[in-house]
Amino acid sequence: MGRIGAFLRLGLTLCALVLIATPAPAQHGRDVPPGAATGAPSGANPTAQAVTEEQLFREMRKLEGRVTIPDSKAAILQQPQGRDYRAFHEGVLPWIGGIVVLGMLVALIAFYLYRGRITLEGVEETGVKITRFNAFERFTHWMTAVSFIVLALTGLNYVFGKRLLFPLLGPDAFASWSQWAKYAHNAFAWPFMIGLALMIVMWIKDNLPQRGDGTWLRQFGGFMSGRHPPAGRFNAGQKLIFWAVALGGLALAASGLVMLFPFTTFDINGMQIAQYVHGIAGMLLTAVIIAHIYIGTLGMEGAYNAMGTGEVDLGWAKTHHSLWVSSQQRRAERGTPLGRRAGAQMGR
Amino acid sequence: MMVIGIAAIAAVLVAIVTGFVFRAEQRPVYEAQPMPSVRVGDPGHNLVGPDWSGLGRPGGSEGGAAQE
Amino acid sequence: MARMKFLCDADRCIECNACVTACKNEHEVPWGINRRRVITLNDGRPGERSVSMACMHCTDAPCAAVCPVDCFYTTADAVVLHSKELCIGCGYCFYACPFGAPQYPNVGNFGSRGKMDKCTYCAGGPAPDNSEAEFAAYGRNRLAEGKLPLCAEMCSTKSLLAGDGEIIAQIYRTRVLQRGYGTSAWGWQTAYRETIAI
Repeated sequence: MGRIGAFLRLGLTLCALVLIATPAPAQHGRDVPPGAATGAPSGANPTAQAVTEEQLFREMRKLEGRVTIPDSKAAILQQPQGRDYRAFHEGVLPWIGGIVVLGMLVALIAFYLYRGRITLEGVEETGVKITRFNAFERFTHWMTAVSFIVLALTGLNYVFGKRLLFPLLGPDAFASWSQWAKYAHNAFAWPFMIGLALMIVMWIKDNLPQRGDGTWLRQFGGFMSGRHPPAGRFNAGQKLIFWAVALGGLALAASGLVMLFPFTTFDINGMQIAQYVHGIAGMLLTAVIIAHIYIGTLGMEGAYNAMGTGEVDLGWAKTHHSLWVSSQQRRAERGTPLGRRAGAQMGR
Repeated sequence: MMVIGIAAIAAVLVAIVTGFVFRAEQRPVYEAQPMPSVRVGDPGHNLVGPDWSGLGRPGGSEGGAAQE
Repeated sequence: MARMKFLCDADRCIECNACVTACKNEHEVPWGINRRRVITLNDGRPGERSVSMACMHCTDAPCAAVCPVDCFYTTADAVVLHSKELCIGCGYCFYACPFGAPQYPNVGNFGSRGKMDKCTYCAGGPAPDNSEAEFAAYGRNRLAEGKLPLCAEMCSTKSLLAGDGEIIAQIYRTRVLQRGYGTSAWGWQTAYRETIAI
């Protein structure tokens, strides 16, 4: 053993001498000078084949390796897409939200100041009521609507909360509010999705595009002129609202479900995309719903009753949804069962 | 008008119930993503098994495999 | 004032996981939370490299930028810390972090991940230095005692360096010059917007 040790010491000394004799490389350290003790007899230096960060970035979108942790997310060494996510969440999304939501409010205020409330002028009130929406339809609408209000407000808190509310509430109060807002957002998503599904099933038939829709849209529904183009159960504007809610709501539901169960379906890049979809769809739909709320309450006299009590004046219905009233009347004449107050009212 | 109230209450109820259901289903990371050798359970149930005597009694110690 | 950074010399790391063990033990990190982890690239092939990764304590930290409740803060040593009192467990910091540093105690069934936990550079948190409360929530505060992070102290090959950025950059530079190769300081371009000129 002593002789082997002596040989080893001799070998090491020789190597050291060689190293000292070799001029130290002053350039960027990829070139290994000949004679340096790297130990590979073939002359190939395995360390020179080592990957560098830049090389990996050029070849892969994310740098991933192997870990002994069961959580596969831990194997990601670097994901540069986080930078894009940060830019989106702190730059793009607040701008989109601000422009779209505030812009809608400004547009509605301007419209109200210019046109005012659309009154009943031109409508001959008959005093006779016709059922526009039954109890189940109204229940579904209101359950979805209440859920949406909660979701919109809590959702906007994720983006604008720290900019607008934090300075007013201070860190602890704002964090508590945000915590409950998060729970509320996660929880009210479910009644929203249930209501959305029911609404789509209930109303898709009446919202399919029909012949008068083009005319209605071109006349802008008569909002400015005061004339009333004919419309079915839902006019073209309402159909646009339906489809915005249906498609936007489905996008929100899908991306929202992805986020409610993180990393079960997608990896980190998929989750980031779900955030993009959810944020943009949410902002756009919020703006659309603001307009919908406006027209259904303040914007048009007589409109609220449709979803509030379910009964609208027959004259109002004839003016705004003439084709629907005539088809209802035809059904009544053919002997379809009438509503409770028979004679004075036609049921659905 | 009553329908609106009922709908609001229904929304809140669905929200609360789903919240409770999912909270009950939630697992900590070490339970949801365990490694095969990790003990995931109450103290007192060890990895080796009930028999520590090492005497290899039939049906004894070696049967105590790790809890999967 | 020192600007604290981490540098993992990938040419020295032998994947022993001493850094991981030291961190978990010192801070009594709960199961499932991986403040520090060792990732192996090209496992089993020539040019295999292991890198020890935790929080890089970035300049202009993206986690801090996206947090909806603004629970992050940067200390005078440029250590990025956060408050678990304010954290709502939304998970945005994990989406933004290029290095995957934020960890959550619950698997996000229903999205309630619990309070985010991450490498603190052994600098504790907003609770009073070296108090029980601080230890329970954030782990040991070594920086307040004038010590450097334990992972780097325990590194068996001194591949993981922690300390003032200038000093560890100089150490790394010297190493690269002496041995003749270096795969560069992993993550420095992303975290600190600088590379080490050799």
